[in-house]
Amino acid sequence: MRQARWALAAWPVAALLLAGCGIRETDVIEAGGPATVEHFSRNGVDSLLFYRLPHGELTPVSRPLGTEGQFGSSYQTRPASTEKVIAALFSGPSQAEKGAGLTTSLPRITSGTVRLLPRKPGAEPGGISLSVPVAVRDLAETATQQLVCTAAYSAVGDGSVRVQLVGQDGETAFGTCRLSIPAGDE
Amino acid sequence: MRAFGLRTRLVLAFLLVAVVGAGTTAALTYREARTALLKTAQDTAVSSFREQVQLNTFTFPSDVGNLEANLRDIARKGKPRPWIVFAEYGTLRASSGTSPVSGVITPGLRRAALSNPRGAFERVVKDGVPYLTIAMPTVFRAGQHSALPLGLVVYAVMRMSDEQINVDALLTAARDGALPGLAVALLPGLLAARSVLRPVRELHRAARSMGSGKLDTRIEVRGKDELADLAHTFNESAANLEHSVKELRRAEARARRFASDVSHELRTPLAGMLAVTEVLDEDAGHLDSDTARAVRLISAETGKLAVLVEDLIEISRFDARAAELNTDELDAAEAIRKTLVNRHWTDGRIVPELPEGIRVRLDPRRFDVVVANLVGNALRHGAAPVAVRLRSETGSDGTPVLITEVADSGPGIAPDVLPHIFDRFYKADAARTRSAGSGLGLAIAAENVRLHGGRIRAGNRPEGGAVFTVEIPLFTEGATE
Repeated sequence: MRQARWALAAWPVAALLLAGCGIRETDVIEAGGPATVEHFSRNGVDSLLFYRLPHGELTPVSRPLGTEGQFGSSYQTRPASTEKVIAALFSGPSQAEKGAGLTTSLPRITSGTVRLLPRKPGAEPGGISLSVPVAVRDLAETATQQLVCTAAYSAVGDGSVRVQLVGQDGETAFGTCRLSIPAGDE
Repeated sequence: MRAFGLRTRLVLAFLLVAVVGAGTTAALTYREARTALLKTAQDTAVSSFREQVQLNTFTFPSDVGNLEANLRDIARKGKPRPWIVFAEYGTLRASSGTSPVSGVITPGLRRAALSNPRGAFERVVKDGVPYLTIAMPTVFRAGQHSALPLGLVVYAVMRMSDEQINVDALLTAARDGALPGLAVALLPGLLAARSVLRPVRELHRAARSMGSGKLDTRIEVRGKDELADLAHTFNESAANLEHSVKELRRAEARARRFASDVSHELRTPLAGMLAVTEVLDEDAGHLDSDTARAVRLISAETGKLAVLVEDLIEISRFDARAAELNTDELDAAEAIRKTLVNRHWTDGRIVPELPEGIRVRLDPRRFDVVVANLVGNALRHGAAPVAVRLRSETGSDGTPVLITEVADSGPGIAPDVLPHIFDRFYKADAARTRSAGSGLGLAIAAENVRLHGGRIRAGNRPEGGAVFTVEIPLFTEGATE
């Protein structure tokens, strides 16, 4: 009985002392937003293409697909057309990009071209329709997102445009690039 | 001091309270301070790492060499934090250190950084060294309101050695603060023990003093706590006890004085009656036989009454502590022989075994009474022959004693009677209410022996018959003075 009482009194002390001296491990703790870095790109010349990282997420890579204007020349800086960018996307990651582990989920195109379709009357405002030479209905989610994101960022700088894919087997609903996140305060 | 006495227990209890108090305070303070210290260090590291990363421009996809240059730049600017920066992009791995991949970064942190583009940190202890690992996913601004994750995660791994030192210092401070606290707690513990123990000691002393007969012992009542209540109760009980004992003693004294007074009052008329019965005895021969028997009966009973009164007076002298010892040095065998002759016990009923030459200092009159009472008792209640033996031996306490034994050849003393044999008016046989003796003979003998500082015992011999043994020191206290 007495021993029990002593043990009861000694418990909190022991517990506190055993609570650990020194620095202990922690779980993963979230601390603030990501680092917003500068992206080395020549505005208008570089286009963003979206490929798959090894762990499954999509990541943008930039390609100099536009025409660079030269001082004193009749050429003016012109961004690459959406058709050209999507065609480049279908051709897969470059050697360097493959070296970094990037892959594509899109099937290889053997024939056919990519066309930006004229807006249908009564269609959704602020949306674009893209004709691709593949079956779009059975495309994997990653592949669809690759097409949607690439098209959206090539059409508008902030990628906020909605994109519809028209393929050999029909058309998809309008979708947005789900990769973009709200920008931080900085 | 006792091993688990009150003082030890009180001091231990105080120390325990102090340990709990000081320990809890120190531990809580330490925990809070440690948390605050680490939080500051971590927050500073995370935000400064984010700033460093944001200063860089990345090209995607970058070749490994380009990425490594970027990382070294971040690592260099990471002062004063000596961190190692790791970058992971796809399957590319680069670092500002020697190894491209860190062994400290956990899969959990990696998963968190890749699935959620927000900064995160994790404290890892590896081989006893605490590390702070920070994961900083990168995004770039794609428009006014949106940003795109780059898939590049930059990690910083930092040894928390400074923090470790600070935390250790905190721990030392907490411990060094708690230990003097314990030492300080010892003082009130001892004081409290003292304040409790002093009344307890007084109580102890008072109880012992009362036990030794000082019934007027009282305790000083201090304060108004439970111990004061105890002292108060003790005093009340002591007063009640003293009163009761006084009352008892007074009653006893009254009773004794009454017996003594009655005996003395009876003595004078009895003396007259004895004189008259002597005359009547002489004349009895001239009376007719019935009257003569009646006269002789009255004469005999009067004689017994006189003996009883003398015995009563004798025993009330003992009760009043008025009995005095008038010692004289004499030969023990001589004294006993004189007693036997005076009582006319010289016929064959008595077998004296009296070795000569045992000198002893005692009161001859009282010794005479003792021997006479014992022999008389043996003749009355036992049976002849009665042996009277004398010897000297060394007593149980090492002093030489004179041993006088009176053994009869009767049936012995019943075991239930033995403990009461020296009681006054104790009748061994309830049916025999009238005996020749006064009923006080053995009691008076016992009192006389006790007055000599000796002992008297009654018992039965194995071969039958009662034996009374008297032990009297050869040199009584009165003699040695």
